Amino acid sequence: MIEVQHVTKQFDNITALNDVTFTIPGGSMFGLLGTNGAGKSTLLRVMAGILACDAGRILIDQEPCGEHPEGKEKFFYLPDDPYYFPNASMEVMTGFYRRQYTGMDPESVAYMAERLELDIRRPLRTFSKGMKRQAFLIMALCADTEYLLCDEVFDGLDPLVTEVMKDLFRKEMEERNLTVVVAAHKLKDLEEFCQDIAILHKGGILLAGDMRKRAGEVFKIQCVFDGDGSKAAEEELRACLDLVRFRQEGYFTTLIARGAKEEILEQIQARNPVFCREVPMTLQEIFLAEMEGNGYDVGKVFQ
Amino acid sequence: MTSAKYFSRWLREAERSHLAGGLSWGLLSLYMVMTIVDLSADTEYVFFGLGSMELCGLSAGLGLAFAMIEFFYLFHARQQDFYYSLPVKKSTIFLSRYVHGLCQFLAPLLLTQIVLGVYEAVNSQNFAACAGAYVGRSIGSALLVFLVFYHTGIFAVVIAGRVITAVAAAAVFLFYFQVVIQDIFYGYVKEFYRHFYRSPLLEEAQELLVPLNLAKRLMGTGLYDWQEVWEYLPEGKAVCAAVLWAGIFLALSVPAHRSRRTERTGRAFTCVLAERAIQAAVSLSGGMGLGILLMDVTGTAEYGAATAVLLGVSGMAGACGIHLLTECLVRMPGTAFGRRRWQMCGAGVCAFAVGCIFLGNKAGFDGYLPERASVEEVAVSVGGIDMKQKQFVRGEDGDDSVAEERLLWYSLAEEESIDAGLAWIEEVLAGMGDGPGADQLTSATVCCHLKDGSRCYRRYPLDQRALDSFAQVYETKEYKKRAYPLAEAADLKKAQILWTDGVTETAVKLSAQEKENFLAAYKEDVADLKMDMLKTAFPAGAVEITSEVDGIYLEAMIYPFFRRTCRVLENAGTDVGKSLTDYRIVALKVQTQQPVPQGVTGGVTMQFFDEENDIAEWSGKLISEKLAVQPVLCPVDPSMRAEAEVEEEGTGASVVVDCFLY
Repeated sequence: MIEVQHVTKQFDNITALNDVTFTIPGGSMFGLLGTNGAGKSTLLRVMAGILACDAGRILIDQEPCGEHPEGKEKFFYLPDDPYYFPNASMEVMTGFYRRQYTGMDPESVAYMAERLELDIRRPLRTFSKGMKRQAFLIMALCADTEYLLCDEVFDGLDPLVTEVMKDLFRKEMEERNLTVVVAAHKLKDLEEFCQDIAILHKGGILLAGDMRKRAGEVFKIQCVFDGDGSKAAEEELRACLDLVRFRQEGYFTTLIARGAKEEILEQIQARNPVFCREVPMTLQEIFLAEMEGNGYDVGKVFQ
Repeated sequence: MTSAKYFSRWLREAERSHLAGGLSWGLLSLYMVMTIVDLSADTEYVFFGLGSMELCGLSAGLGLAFAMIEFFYLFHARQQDFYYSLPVKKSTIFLSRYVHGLCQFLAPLLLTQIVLGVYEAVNSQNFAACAGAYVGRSIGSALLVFLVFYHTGIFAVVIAGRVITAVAAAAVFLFYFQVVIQDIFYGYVKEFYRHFYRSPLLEEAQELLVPLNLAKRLMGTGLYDWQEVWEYLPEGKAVCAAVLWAGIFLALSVPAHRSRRTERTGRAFTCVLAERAIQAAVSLSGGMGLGILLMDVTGTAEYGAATAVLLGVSGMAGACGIHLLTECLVRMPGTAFGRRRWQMCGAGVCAFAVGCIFLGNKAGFDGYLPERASVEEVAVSVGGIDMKQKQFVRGEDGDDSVAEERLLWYSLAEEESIDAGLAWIEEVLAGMGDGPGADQLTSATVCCHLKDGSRCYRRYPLDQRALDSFAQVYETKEYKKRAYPLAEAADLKKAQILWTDGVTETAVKLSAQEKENFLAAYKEDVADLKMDMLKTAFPAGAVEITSEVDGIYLEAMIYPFFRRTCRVLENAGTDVGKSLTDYRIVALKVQTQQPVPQGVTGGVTMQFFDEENDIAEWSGKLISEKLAVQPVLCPVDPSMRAEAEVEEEGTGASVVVDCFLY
């Protein structure tokens, strides 16, 4: 478990992280979501011990995340543009990591690389961006660390490889209780396989936790009103329900509201819709509901 | 144990970059091969360790280069992210890099020095005896030089966020004191202090505070004699200074690295304190430098409000200008331009204060005379007394080597001489006006050796009165001993005596008794000599005394008023009254130098005479260059020189005599 407690980090007069507090449960896939400059990478670098925080602390398994090599052996940090030695191949880098991480398994690296058709003896500099990312993901997964901190990990991967990599993540998590922290600026990269997500905005944390649990009190209803009934219904429903969103597209009106499901449906039925049914909400819609409810403009997150 | 494991692991990782190793092994191997080639031709003036400028340069250069190569990752944000995210302490990476750099220098140095030592020992019997000690001292000195530059470079890299600022910071550390002492402090003392000649304190500071000079001193690069070089042991204070340099920079680098913030990589400096210190130091030197420049241009260097105002204005303007310039270089976009105003003002005020300290000490410096009780020796060199015309002109043109030589020779340690010397200086000071003397004839360079081991140098301008009063020093027994060393000779029985009148040389045939008489007469004449007498005549000639048995070579001027000496010589058949005028001059070339503006060449006119009448007109004014030894007391015309072609009687041979005209 990683506990981020009141972490503040400033770069001169810019506050990159402002009193950030949340907990990442062990064995979970945790997403850090935010726009560019929100502080995701800074938070990951602080967690990895690269940057020192100005205030607050980070505990990894109850131990302060510091400079101790024994503590740092618990996690592997994978930046969005990983560094490798000039002319080094995957084999060379694996050898290097093996000397740093006692659990590094070169055979697994070779196996996964073969599965993804990567030549481990070819210099990494000749790899494409996507291939490099795959190569480092493989090495990160094979380092046998308890935590994996990834920055924009799926950025630049084609959909097929993304799926393969996600499968690898899932498999590793199932097999050895791996905790993965993934930072991304697009929700679609996270929504499929992150149970918990924290949203960072201008250095502060907006939300953190299991978003699907939060969906328990928010409902999405799709309905069709007769004639011009939609406009009248909107005004009336806004007056009696906690309406997060009301949008009309053609005949269909989609609304998202907070509250008891029965009451929401009752109020809609009272306006005599031609058609009305509840539809499942995507993670994006849950976020939207949560954040718009808090008055944040997070449109960029959902691009 | 864990730390050791991580350290050894990272030391091996540092091997990954072969640049440092390649550079060190490559350059030192090349140096070894080239030195072997040189040694095969000359073992006496080629030195492979101490005394080698090349090894000194290599040690210094590799020190700086290794600091950059080994710690280059500190300029590379991605590389730092990579290293610092790994299970290793930052300090382990730092230490492993440091040790790697050190080993990469030490290993090839040891090998090449041992190989060169063995090679030279085999080829030179003289060297074999001291080979081990020489090689050991060479390795130690080269290592110290390397460490001074290595640690300086490391500190520059640690505090800088960019390569360019690291290079600039290293340049500041290496050359700051050079600039401050050489160009600023010397500038102040030369502008303000009329009697400044040299300052041992500043000279010592320049040697010890400037790493390049310190390196040369450690390596003994100024030595040329093989025996001196092979036995050279760097002075204790030079070694201490080097240890301090290296130690201080290493001691500063460790906490600077510990507190170095990764996120500041890419900025001018990663350490704000270091940034401010460098900025303040550079601004201060800028303020002081502008003060010197303006004083030089305006010629204002006297006591008074004008100089103080000039110092104040230039100090503030220079410091502010440099401060703002450095701000443009180090300031982050978006930061207020006028920040650190107090620091800027402080640097300006300090520049002004330093100038005022120098100015305020003007009277104290110029009028300073050590207490009699503290003086152990007084050395005096008066330009133009007992020296050849050429030497006098060289001294007047700023060549201090003549004065330095004479300060060593004319160092007076007897009570009577010291009293006379100090009394004379007091008189000179008392008779001196404030402004530059228009009636200055020459200058006197004085060095007081104090009992505490220090030295105090001054150079006084002398007018006729001050020059005349020098007689009280000149006429002391000790000064005469120095000026007339023949008077101190104990025995000339086995010596050969030659007489020269400036044109020809003749052997003086004297029996042992006559030689004793000659020496006694000379001693009496010297004892009776008054300085004023030197104004009355040029020497009639000179005697050269040579004794291979006693190892004596002396030259003594014989003046016409050395009557006893002249009489002994005349009795031995020497014509002491014969001068250039008495020879037959068949041709004469007269060269006249007209004054020309500075920076302009020419102004020389040449006249050739071969008619008897013309030559007769000039011959009465000619004096052989050898005999013009009192340029101030018995002066010649410095603007005219002549070459006289003289026909020797009897043989008919021609002799060309260089002459002056008086």
